[in-house]
Amino acid sequence: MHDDIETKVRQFIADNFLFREDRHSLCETESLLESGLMDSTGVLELVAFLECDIGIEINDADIVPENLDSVQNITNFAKSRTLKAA
Amino acid sequence: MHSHQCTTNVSDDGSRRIDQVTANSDPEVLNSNKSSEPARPDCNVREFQSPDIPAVAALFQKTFRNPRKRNSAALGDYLNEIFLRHPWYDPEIPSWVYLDKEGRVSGFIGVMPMRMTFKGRSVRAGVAGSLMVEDPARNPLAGARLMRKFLSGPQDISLSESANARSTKMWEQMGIRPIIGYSLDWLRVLHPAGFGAAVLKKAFRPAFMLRPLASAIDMVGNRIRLNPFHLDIDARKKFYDREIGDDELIEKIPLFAKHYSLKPDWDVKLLKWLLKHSEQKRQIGALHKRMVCLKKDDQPIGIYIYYGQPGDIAWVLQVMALPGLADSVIESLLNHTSKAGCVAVRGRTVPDITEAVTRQNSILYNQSSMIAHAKKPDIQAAINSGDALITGLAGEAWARIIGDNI
Repeated sequence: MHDDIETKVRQFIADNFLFREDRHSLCETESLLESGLMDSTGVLELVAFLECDIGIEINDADIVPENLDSVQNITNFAKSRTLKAA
Repeated sequence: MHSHQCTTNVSDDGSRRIDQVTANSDPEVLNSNKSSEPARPDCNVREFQSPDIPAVAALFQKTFRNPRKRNSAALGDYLNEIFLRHPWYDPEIPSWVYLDKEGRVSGFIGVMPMRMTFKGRSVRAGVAGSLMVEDPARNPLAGARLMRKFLSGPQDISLSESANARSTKMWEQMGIRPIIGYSLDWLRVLHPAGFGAAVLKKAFRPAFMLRPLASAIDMVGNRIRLNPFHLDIDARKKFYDREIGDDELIEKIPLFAKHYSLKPDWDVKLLKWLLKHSEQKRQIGALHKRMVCLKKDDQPIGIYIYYGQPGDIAWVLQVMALPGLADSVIESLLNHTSKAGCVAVRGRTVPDITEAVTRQNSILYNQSSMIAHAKKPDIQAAINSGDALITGLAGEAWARIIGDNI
């Protein structure tokens, strides 16, 4: 289940942010915000993905860099939410 | 302590994958956030309050006006008036500010309440606009949080009448698509040379000196019937129009709104307030309020309200007509603006007048979009089908923050 989340997050980032910026690689701790890969529209796109595809509920207060700024943060956040739900 | 392996991996079908973002093998790092609660914010979104006015006014000036100039005190007073002292102010549907890590206001979404009725039932709407974020590239989370905060409010309907391309894209990411029937602007040129001069003047102010020459060219063009935009007004038309005052307008508005399933539940106090604000908007010309009536029995069939001045492009705030009579009202509007010396007319389409304006050789284009999201499917269906009065006085176009210098 958790490996699945990780794979899905990585695939989402690759398909939506890397492809758009013509980037080919990304470190898992690289800031999506500071690197300019994710703008305000991208944030909402990511939130929609987490809510619809991963199936977790996102509160407004969850929309912070600590949860959404890198592949690692997103994965950890999603995993912690699914753990909590379970 | 730990290492990353970042490599490129393009799959056979050409799609790029992030499988190459090698999972960090350091369990300490991987588990650092695993057992704890998700991070809580050190930035915050909270209700807009009076002490925020100077910061919001400064941000408004920087975002929507000349960033090199300081905002006027009047701008702060105005924001206070429309967002905090609105006659229908609803503390459950407030405007919101975004505070950055230092606690400074660095984002804002203005929300005005609108009491409405849907098939006779009371519903609440919030009209959002003026979404702005200090340095959005550095603060990409702010706009998202402000929009979501507004959308998660208790209102039955969330509206935004003038969403720009960026905002529209953000709404779309939240699954809310613009309502195309309300998202187009129409433009009808009346005097082509004057229109060219007016457009030029916007880019290069001294071009206003071309106006007498443009007028002369248009006059000659009309006389020798060389103006392709000449209005073909039927001399035997069965209607006439006349200027009306606020009291008569307020009395007649319900007549022209009653065929909509979804419409504002306006009362006299609010309409007077809206019209007072509309009158204050002077940069695009004086406000003209006119009613169209049948010649045979003086029965009113519609109204139109526009800003206009000679040599400029008239800007329509509202057109309302009884069902099936929009053509007569649009014809009256074009005739009046032409006689008043306006060089063109522009306005927002609403589904029940779009056919009438296109029949008058108008062009349609998209400048900003109407966003409308209803919690109940039947209300959404009414909006999508054009059975809703949600623009002009029912939206935010009457406010000085749209198209006026304050």
